[in-house]
Amino acid sequence: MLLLKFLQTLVKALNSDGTPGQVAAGMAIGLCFGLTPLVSLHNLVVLAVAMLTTVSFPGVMLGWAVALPVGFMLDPLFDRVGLALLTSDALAPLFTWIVNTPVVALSRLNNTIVLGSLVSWLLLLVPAYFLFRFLVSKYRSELYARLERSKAFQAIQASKLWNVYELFRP
Amino acid sequence: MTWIRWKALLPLAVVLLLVVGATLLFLDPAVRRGVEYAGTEAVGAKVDLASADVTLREGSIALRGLAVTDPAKPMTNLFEAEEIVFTVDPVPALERKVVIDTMAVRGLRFGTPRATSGALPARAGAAGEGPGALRRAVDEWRSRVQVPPIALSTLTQSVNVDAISADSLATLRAALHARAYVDTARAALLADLQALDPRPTIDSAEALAQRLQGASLRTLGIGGVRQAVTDVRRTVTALGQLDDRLRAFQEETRTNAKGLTQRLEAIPAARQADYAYARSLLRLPTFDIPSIGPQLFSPVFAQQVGEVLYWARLVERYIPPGVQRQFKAGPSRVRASGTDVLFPKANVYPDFLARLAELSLTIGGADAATGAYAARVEGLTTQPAVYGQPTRFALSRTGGRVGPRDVSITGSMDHRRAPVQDALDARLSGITLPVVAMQGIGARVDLGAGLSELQLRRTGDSLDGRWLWRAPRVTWMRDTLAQPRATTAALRLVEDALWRAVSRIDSVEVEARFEGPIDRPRLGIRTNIASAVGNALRDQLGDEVRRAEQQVRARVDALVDAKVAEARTKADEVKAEVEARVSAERARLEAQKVALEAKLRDLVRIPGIG
Repeated sequence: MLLLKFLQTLVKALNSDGTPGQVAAGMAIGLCFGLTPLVSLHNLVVLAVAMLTTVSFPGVMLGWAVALPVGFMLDPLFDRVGLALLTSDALAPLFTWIVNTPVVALSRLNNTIVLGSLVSWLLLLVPAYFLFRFLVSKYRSELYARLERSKAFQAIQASKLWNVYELFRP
Repeated sequence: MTWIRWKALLPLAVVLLLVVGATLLFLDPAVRRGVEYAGTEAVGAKVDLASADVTLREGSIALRGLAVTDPAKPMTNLFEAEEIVFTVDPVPALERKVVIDTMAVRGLRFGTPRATSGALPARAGAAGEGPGALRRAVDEWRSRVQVPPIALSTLTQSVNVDAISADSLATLRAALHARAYVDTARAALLADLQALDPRPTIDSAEALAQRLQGASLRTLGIGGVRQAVTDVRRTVTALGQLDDRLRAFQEETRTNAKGLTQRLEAIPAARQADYAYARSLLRLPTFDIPSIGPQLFSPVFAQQVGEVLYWARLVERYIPPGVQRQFKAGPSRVRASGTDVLFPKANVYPDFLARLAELSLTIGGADAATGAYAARVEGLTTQPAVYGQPTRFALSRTGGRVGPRDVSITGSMDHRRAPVQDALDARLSGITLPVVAMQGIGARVDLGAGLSELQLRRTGDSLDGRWLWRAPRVTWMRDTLAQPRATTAALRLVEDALWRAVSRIDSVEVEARFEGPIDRPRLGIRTNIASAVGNALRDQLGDEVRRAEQQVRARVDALVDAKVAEARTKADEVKAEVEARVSAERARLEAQKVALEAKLRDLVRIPGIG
């Protein structure tokens, strides 16, 4: 059922009324939930941005789903990135301010995984947006039309599985 | 096209409210888990907490059913507390800092048994850090400082000198080393002699002496004579200087010989060390009174002092000095924990601070610590440099019908800057001291009620500690279970003599001193039992031990004498060779010098020359 839900999200995001730019922006933002530890203060801010801007929300979910396993896999890398930043003498005043400032300190940006993954996501944000926008456009103009004509897709559409999927469609 | 989705404001507010609600709902279990996790990480053994109750309005937290496992004894709790209530300053909490204004502890009990083991599973990659690594380091220190007990059994057997292996003898290594160095020293000495280069000066003097042989005013003329006098004086001076250098070189060859003498002199010292080593292999009893204390009490005090070292080093780990970055393991979560890097800064809240903790505690039962106590801790913090005050603590006994008469523990930890300064003074009088097995003597001593005094001073990595037990009325027991009686009549006599010697002792005093680097302090133990044991052993076993020692020495000598003699012979040969060469050069030099001085005397007699 989870897989079906994922497929539903995927299809909904890619075929929704949103422009490729909105879907790509949603996906790029959604990467944050998967790449960084979920229970973090910055994720509340990112969630607010995702909800208050007109980015595609299914796109956010899709980005999250795609990035979740990647986040776990890349933890050792994030740890090294975070440690390098946290041990940099030039940035020490910034982090000293962060960990000694009310509320800001709750962000846990002095944790190597949180900081490393957040910085990595911020660096990926713009390239990911352009990549996703390109891929969504390509999908809509070329792949979807071909998929629609494929026997497998039609078979799925004709199957009970599709009916179940339809139940979940908004 | 608008970029803002205003209609999402309400759902967002709902989401935020849900987050806040969930946080409040799960705050108690989160605090409970946090205490268990942080405590376990800090102590190196399982910490269990039955429940945590956070009252935000009052800023108070109550922890109930806290059980902290003793890392050295996983089936025993270091302590248990029924309830700990403290008030927390809410402002620092917004910086993820815990500042406790007051704390009260109720129902504190020490050394209670556990239903399940509190040992932590071995973690991969944690070999070089954490409490586990500290525990291993302390265990390693314990095994190093423990002295084997007195062994009488070795005297019943013929001394097995075959156990002494040539490979393990330092004398042999020193002799081989000296022998191998002989050739190096010879080459170096000859090179130095060549560098002195005496031949040209001597040859030149010889040539001058020959040239002036039979020379006179008539053959040389007045100018030639003056020139000859100048030449002779200069050459005689040069010969004198060369002779000084050759004499110095000769002296160096005789005394040092490019380090060869030093290597030869190391052999007797190595031989003495080998005698001691070989003696220790055979575990012959010693009569040396300072050595007997450690043989009797080192297992007991290694255990006790080891715990002091463990906690002293753990404190250093969690309360580091200065305001440098600090590293600690990140939180436990599904994702990797990572590392939390702390950035201490002066004049802000430290990461953890208990400004004042007043503990009124009762230790139940009928054991050594039973009674009522009052404790006070001021300024306990993980970042003393940030807080700016040393931590002070004091504990005293306030009552109780059983247990010690008087307990007074005071101490301080000043970790504001390096070097850290720790001090602890503990005095427990009327405490029940343990029953100690006198290994090797076949006896146990019940020290009974007495005084236990611990003084500890730490400055940086240097530790100076003293632990004293004074037992005024002890009870001796023969311990034939732990150490069965000797099988020979002779040794039974020795055992009986030892028993008579120790069982007459009414009051026992044992003092352990541990000083030196905190990771490997020396442990010395002094006790009044030692002199009784030493004298009894000397009376009974003096002749046997002396005979055994002679056999040991003879065995060591037999194993090393040939190589030592060879090294000495070779060294003497080299010295003799070099000395002979130098002597020959000096003899030639002296002959030329005498000839030239005689000629000079002749020449200066000529009128107008002298």
